[in-house]
Amino acid sequence: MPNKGEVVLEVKDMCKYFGVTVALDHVNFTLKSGEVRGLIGENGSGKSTVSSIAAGMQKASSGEMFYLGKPWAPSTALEAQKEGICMIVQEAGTIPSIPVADNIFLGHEDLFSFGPFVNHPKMVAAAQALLDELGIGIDASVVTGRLDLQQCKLIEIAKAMYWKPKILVVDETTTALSQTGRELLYKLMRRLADEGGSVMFISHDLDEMMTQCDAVTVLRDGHIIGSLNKDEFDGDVMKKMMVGREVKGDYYRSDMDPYGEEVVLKADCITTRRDLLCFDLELHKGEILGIGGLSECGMHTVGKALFGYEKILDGRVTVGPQHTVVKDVETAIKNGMAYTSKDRDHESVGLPGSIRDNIASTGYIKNLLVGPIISFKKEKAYVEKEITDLSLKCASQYHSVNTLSGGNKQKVVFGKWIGGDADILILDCPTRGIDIGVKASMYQLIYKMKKEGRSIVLISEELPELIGMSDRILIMKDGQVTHEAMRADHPTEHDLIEYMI
Amino acid sequence: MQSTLLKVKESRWTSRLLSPIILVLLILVFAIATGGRFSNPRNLKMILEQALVVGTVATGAVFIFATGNVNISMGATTALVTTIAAKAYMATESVPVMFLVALVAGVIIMGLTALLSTWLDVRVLYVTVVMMTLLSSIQMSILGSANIQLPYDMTSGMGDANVPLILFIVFFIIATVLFHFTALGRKLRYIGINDVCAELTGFKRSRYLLIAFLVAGVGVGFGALSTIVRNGTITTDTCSTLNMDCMLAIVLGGMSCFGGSRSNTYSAIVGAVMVTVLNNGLLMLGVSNTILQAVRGVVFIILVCASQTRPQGLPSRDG
Repeated sequence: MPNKGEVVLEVKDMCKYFGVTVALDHVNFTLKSGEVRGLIGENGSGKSTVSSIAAGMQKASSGEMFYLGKPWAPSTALEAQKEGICMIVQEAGTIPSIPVADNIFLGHEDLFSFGPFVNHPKMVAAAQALLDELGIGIDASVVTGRLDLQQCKLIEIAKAMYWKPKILVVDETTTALSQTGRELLYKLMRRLADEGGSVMFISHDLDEMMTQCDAVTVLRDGHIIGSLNKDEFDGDVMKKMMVGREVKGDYYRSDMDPYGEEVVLKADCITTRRDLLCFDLELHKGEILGIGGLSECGMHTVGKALFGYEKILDGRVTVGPQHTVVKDVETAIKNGMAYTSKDRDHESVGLPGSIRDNIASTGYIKNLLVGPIISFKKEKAYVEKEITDLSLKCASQYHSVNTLSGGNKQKVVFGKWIGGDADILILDCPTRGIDIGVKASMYQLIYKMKKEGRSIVLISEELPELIGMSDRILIMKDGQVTHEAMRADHPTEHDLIEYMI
Repeated sequence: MQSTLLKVKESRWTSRLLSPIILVLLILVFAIATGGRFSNPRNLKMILEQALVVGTVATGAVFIFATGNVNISMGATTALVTTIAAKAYMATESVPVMFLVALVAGVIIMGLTALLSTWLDVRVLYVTVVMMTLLSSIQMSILGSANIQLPYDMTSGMGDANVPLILFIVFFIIATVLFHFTALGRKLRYIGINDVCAELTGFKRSRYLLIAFLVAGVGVGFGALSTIVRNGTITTDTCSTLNMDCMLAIVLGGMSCFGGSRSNTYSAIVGAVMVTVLNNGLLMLGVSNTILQAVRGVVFIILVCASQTRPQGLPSRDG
């Protein structure tokens, strides 16, 4: 390990272009050993780009890097990993169909080889030893697909830690982790820094950044705006640096507006294959119902079950004044329901499709000309309206969703359902991985929808968000509601956490 | 300069214009290389006639390919339907019966293929691998050792009445309206873009896959009738290259064989002409039939690679 305070990584005059988009514009950056350095910035500011170039995942368009004083140009992530720069990425980085141990040593099977064969028991034993040492309670021999998102993330962390990295890049990992997972990650990060390594930590959660980092560097539109040391940390200053204008400290709703009496959606003692056993829930007209808990508490299953996407073994979900039973997704949608998944890129939006393909998908019936024939003009206007209403940043509605930033992708998802006039929205982690600028507009939008008389189930792992937005909060643990808090009672994070663990 | 080029690349019209331009260039090259033999009206007419069968079946295939599924048994299905319809004609000597049998057989076999895929929860590609051999062997056992020779009066009469052309036009118009002007095509494309997301938007995959196959089944029925009219004789070789021709046509026409956004029926017609031009031109230049198959395979692989848009940098990442 290098000595404390020594420069381990230096980025000089780096540029990166994606086609016509400039992701990095002459960036200069140094990383010292023994520090946890935060990188903050809005979506598309270049923080993931610069760190993934250092970790060998992509190449810079121009510029140089120096690692431990020597020129650094890794050609693959594996090479960077062997040299001591490891990255934990935002999206899933494990292969579901193979055992945990195989994922941990993916690409390094030669460590356990004899001749052309791999000594698999030895590999599993090594993986188990590693997991135990890090305090991750996962069996190394199980198939990865049986684990949830949080456990997969922990495996990725273990995978990176095996190489005793000199630089660990943690990119937006905590959004997938519950409190216990986060604590574990923070501990590992700190341990690494204390041993003389360095951590590049990327997160949208400013509170987390302020408590965990020794210094932060702010990026905006591919430029470095500045750096702050721990004693200079201030939420409002950071936000201003990120967005480039003043952002008010509080962006949740501040009203105490009531909601209706009428029950629009009701879960009546539903049991699912996993997580839920005789679960009840009532959603009222114009209500924002928050559901919180640890990631594995079953709240994500609640969202899917309400929408008819999770098989309900016993009990039923009914919607609307006629108490129509939601037996599948189709019935749910017909009755004005909408669902946005936590796993946005895989379940809520068609990435390779255009913005129009996505938003128009809920409006075919509304945009008819005569009979079953669709009016292209109406459809275009329909999509255009959502783009303007949500101030979605794009060149045109024919643009592929792939090219948009996370926040704008989420806007496409919202636009799709709002355009389809959904009255009951089930939003699972709607602000996951979204920067504060867009987050604020999402909150306004959720509030606006409430005002319009729509009902919202807000499932979230972020307590401040739930407290700030919900009329009523349900806290879940092990598939059961352990606590119910009303907005009028002004619950605090501290009160609620107790019921989660 | 770079930005203009990118704009051109990303434009919706590029892929649609590119194929016809290449087609014209191909025709010019072959015309020059063969010293005008290729471009004489009789040959061009023959190419168009050949393209009709491919065009009809490929138009139906667009519905399936749009959903991101690859079907490799359409050629075998058409061959079997051709045989059944020809048998029906020999037995009844009635043209309407032959039409009816072809349509019903096409729709039933294709529908069954789709149902097998959804019932067994096996990908369309794998189901069609099995179907391809299964249908071929059924066709062989129906044919036995004898070929079916249809009466010349009937086939030439229908040929003179331009039946294949009429069948193609009717089917193409219906297919285009369904695919581009109703919700069906958009839903199929959305399934091709992201099937989980489509399911969560209320488009049941199993149902729309079946509908796509039924439409394609009509195309197969029409294609089989055109084959009967054109060939007159049904052998075990009938339609043996049809499936590859259709897949080639779809990618040559500018559509991705992985379905999604860029799917359109127009690709089928432009692509069908291109495939036949390619086949005919190369044969005329003295390329042997065996080598021709290899050439087509290479062209297909190149196009499939080219039509796959790769994400720049890392997929699904911000910043």
